[in-house]
Amino acid sequence: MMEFSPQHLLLWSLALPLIGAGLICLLNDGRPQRARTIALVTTLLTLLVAGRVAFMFPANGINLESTGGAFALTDASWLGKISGLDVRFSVGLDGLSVWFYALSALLSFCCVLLSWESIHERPATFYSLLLMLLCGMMGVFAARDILLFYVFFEFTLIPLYFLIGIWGHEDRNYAATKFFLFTLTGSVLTFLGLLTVVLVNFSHTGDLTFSIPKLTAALGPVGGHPMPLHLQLWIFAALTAGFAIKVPLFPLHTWLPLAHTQAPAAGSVLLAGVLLKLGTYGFARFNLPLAPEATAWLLPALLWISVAGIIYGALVALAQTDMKRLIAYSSVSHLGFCMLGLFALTPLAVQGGMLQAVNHGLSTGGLFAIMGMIHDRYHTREISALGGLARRTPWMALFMVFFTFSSIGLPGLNGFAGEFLLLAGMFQRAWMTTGPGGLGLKVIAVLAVSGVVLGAWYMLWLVQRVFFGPLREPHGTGHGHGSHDELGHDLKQPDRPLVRDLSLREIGALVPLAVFIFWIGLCPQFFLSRMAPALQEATQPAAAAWQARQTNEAADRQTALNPRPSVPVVAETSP
Amino acid sequence: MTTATSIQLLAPQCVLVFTAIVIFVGGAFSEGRGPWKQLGIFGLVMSGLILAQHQRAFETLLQHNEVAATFGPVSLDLLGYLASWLALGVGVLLVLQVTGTDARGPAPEVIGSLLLLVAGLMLAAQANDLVLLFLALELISIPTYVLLALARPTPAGREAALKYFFLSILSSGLTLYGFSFLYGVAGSTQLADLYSVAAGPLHAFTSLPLLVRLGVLLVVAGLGMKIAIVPLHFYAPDVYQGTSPAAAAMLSAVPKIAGVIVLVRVAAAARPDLGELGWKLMLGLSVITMTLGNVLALWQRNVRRLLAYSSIAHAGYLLIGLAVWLAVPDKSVAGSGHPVTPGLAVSGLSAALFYLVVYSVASLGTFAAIGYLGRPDRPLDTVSELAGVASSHPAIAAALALFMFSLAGLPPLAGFWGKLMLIIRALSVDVGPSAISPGVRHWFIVVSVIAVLNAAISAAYYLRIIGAMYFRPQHGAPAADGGLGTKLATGLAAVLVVGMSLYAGPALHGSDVAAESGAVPLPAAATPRARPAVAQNGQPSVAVPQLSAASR
Amino acid sequence: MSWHALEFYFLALMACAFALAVVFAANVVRMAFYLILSLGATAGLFFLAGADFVGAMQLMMYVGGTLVLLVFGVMLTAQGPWVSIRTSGGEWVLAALVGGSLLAVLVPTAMRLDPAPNHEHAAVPGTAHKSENKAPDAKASTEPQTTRPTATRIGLGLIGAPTSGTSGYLLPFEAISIHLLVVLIGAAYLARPKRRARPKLVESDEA
Repeated sequence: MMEFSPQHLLLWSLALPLIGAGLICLLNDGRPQRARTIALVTTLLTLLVAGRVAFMFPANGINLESTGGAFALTDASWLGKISGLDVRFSVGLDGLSVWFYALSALLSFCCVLLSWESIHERPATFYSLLLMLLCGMMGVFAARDILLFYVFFEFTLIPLYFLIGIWGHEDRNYAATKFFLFTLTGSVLTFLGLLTVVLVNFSHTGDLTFSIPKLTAALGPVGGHPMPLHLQLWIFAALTAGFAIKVPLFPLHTWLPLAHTQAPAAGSVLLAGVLLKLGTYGFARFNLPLAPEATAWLLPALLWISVAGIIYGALVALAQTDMKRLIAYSSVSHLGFCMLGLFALTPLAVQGGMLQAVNHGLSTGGLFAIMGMIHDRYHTREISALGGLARRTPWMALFMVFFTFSSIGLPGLNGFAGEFLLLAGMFQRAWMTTGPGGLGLKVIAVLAVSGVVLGAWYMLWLVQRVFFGPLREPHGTGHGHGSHDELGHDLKQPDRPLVRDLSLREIGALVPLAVFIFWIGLCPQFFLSRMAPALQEATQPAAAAWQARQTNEAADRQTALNPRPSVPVVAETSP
Repeated sequence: MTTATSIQLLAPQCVLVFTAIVIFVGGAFSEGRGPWKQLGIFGLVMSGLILAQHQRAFETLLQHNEVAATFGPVSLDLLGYLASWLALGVGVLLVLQVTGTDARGPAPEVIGSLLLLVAGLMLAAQANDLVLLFLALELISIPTYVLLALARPTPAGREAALKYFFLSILSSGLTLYGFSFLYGVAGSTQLADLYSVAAGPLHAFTSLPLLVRLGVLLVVAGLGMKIAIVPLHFYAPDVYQGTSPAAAAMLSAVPKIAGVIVLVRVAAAARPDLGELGWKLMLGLSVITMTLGNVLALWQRNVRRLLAYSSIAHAGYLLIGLAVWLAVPDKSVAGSGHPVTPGLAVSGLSAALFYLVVYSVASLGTFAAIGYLGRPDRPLDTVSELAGVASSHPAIAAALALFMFSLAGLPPLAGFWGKLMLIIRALSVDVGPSAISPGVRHWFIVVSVIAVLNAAISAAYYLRIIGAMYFRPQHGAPAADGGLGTKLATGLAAVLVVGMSLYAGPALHGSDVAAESGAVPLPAAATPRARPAVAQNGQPSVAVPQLSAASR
Repeated sequence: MSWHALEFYFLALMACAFALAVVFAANVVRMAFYLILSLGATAGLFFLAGADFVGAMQLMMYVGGTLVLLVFGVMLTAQGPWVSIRTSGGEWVLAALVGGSLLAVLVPTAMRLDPAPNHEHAAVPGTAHKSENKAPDAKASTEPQTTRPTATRIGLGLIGAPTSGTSGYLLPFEAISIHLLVVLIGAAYLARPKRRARPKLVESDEA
């Protein structure tokens, strides 16, 4: 593998899942063994290749100037100039995307292990869809061309739609359709916004390019053609329509609990772990650099929405009786943190927000994986049906507690690094802002901190109810609590004599996540240093715009408070 | 020279007509069902081989820096040529998937009528004369009546045939009435004469543009029924539902292609006199058509009825491209020296043509798959009958899902490229460096928003079909007795969709050159040298392949 | 007075007289017979004016087709052999009004035409609309009409003979023949014993 350049490795990492999916379809014999083995080998190879690429990524943006900040760049014409649209197959990584890219590969590997025994129905289809989803996820982060980005962005919908719809739980059809339509409606508007950006650039420069870096450069404040504020607002709104649904931001989250609850374990893990990050990534990649002034203009509102998501998600999570639903609402809350960090626009907060997005992928991915394991054993998601599982399955309890700690931000684990950074950044922003706006930002910051406390409450309560206390588990499949059992997958075993603890395979699925949770928690600098330059570049214009607004407002206030210095000016000019 | 050349030009059609006659006669003398399908395919292939010879004629033309030439009432240009290929492709897909009313396969009359209909489509694509255009449209309509009458011997089928027959007569009448106005203005049935009158200096009769507009309005009304544009769409759901899947497939593709091409031909000739009417009409119709089609499709339970509404909605999308074409002043028409995004008008047309191709293939494939899943005497009716098809017929289900996703416009499928082209052209009117008045431009951005929201709405009912196939347990497996032909047609359409998805370049290029030649009127019969004549009006003489917004 | 004028007056008189006879006759069959004579005389007027094509059309369509149809229609549908029609007063008035107004339009139009320079009979009323037909062809009006029958020219023009310079309508004719073929096939197929024939496929030709 050493002889491959990063470019080749990146292309291989995109191609391997597709090759694997093709192999699974070709060699399908209707039984799971062959399909899952191919899937495991493919995801493992992809993980190795993607990991290799990710760790070759230089820290602090060294040696990336020549390629415009992109690493492992491949650029080839796709539709050809003939068609009038220079759509390019352009893939590469930068600081924004590199960890999401690696995270996709990591979580997919875990998902294959996770689904090893729980998928009996049409296994070949399942694993090939999983691999296609992997390709889509890695592609969307690697895409450097707007259309390619959008193609991958929407392409991720199709496999996930099937994953939820075919292998989901009782209400899967409705959940899959709602998920698909919600995200599609948003993303077509995003698409319109992206096209408008392309055409605005075309009207200024006469270059009908779809290249993201070129557009960002040309339409940024440095490029000389920043868009007027009203246009920026429109574009911001259009882009937000899609990304905010993906994240999901507070009022648009309604599809998420349903989709998470109904999805099979692997679907939940990837949905929470990677696909929600598409929204965060989209904001960082497009909204902030392309519409900085609009961002600054909307900043207080965006921060309020984020913090509303944090508090709302946490409170609703407290009230849940369904474990997966609880975790789903915790995702709403956690994603609120990510967005809060991103919109706080200080370097610390932004880094914290993006790191928290990765963290959420790891910890919530792990939590959903454990939920899947519990479901495999007990065929229920009801909290009240279970209790004291730590006695029965100590290893699972250990991992559960570990991921919970990661999720609530125990120092030493990854969650702490992310939350601390972004909250610190948020407070920075709040203290830096003077005037009446500053008070609002301080309130937001304090509310966000209370969100952390709420997060600890509902997560620990969940662990306490399910894993500790007296042992309580549904007996057999026939009369469990709730009525979810009849659609469970394991109807072939009418009576399970004893629930076993985690198998080696399941531990193998969880350990990689745990490793990275420790790694990020103990050494966040390794990850931050690779993200920082690109993040700085992406958010700098918006931060500057916000600063400019602050200065203007301060000046206005100054004139309003003590009008004396301005009176002579008026007096001079008025005659 | 003229006669000989026009016979050469019409040789592909002649082959089709000849094959059809052989099939008619043979069918009359044979007791059982002979190899008519094979013979039909053979005729189409032979016609294609002869059509391929036209390539050389184009090379000769290009050597003289011409892109179009007229020989008698037919002409040789790239729109006609490429549309003829499309017609042949559609013909193959149709002949493959057509089934009889019972297990014995289709009647020879059905295959013969299909071939004649394809010949009519090819004739419509090449005609440059109002009389011939009308007759070519009728050559599509009349076999359609026969096909519909033969499709299903049930009361619903008869009702469908009768309904289509009467409305089609109405539409023919409207078209003819419109043509007569255009003839009155031009004093000739040649489209080139209409153009020279329309583009010429203002006459003493200042009401002439009004007459042209009235004529075009009537033509749009007549063709609107064939394309299934909203105020004239109402026959479609009933007819699709009442007839067989193969006949519905034909209705969803052939009249639409013919209608669009004839509309383009007429609009290109009448364009200088159209004023703002053209694009306003197209834009308004487009918004109503796609919204109504999509919203009404949401409530449908019958598959063919649902697809009928979907075909209405798609007609709405492609009108956007025509609106862009008519709204953006072509340099040759405006002549006012405004800076206009180069080639934007033409690329609007190109987007519409590309969309037409993409839609037709996916739609034909869908009906083929539906036809395969049903029985010849009892086609698949409701969406819920599709339940569990994914387990019983995984390949057909996958193909059907592919068509649905493509029709919904999901990337990276062909339908996405089609919608992308349409929307980017519509947005270009607003954002691009064009000199169109702001009043015009904002309409296009509104329409773009409506179009993408419609795409999202449409996904809802396409997903219902997919959801039924994949997510619902099987109860009472579908008969799946459509035969090998429908299976082949499904496969062929799926291959085409995948091809146009992953490698859209050639199809885009094809629609670009077709639009380039279709955007300007056909040359007059007396002057085969087309481009120099147009160049006098300010249009630079353009070599065929290069054009489009990005080429600058 | 030349023979030509004599023939004209004879035919014109015949046309007018038998037209009046149609109006005043009460028996349907007689009316039809008078109408044949009147229309035949009109055809004669066309021939006299050199419009052989229009004359032939007149004979074929009106005299041949329409009237035969009319006569058969009357004979087949009438209850008794000699149906007589009594015209009411109101109908008289209405018919006189319509006929009179048509006359009021036609007569001034005919009077306004200049007599053709070389042809003193060009302005005879019967050829009023014929002269418009020939107006573009200046050469034909100076030559004696018998040298080139208009039917030949019209026929050649229609199918697009090499000399005509126009594209012609040969191809449309061919297309129509294919239409008719399909219509016949469809009608024949539908009319097979098992199914009831529906008349619609025949109608479609008229569309």
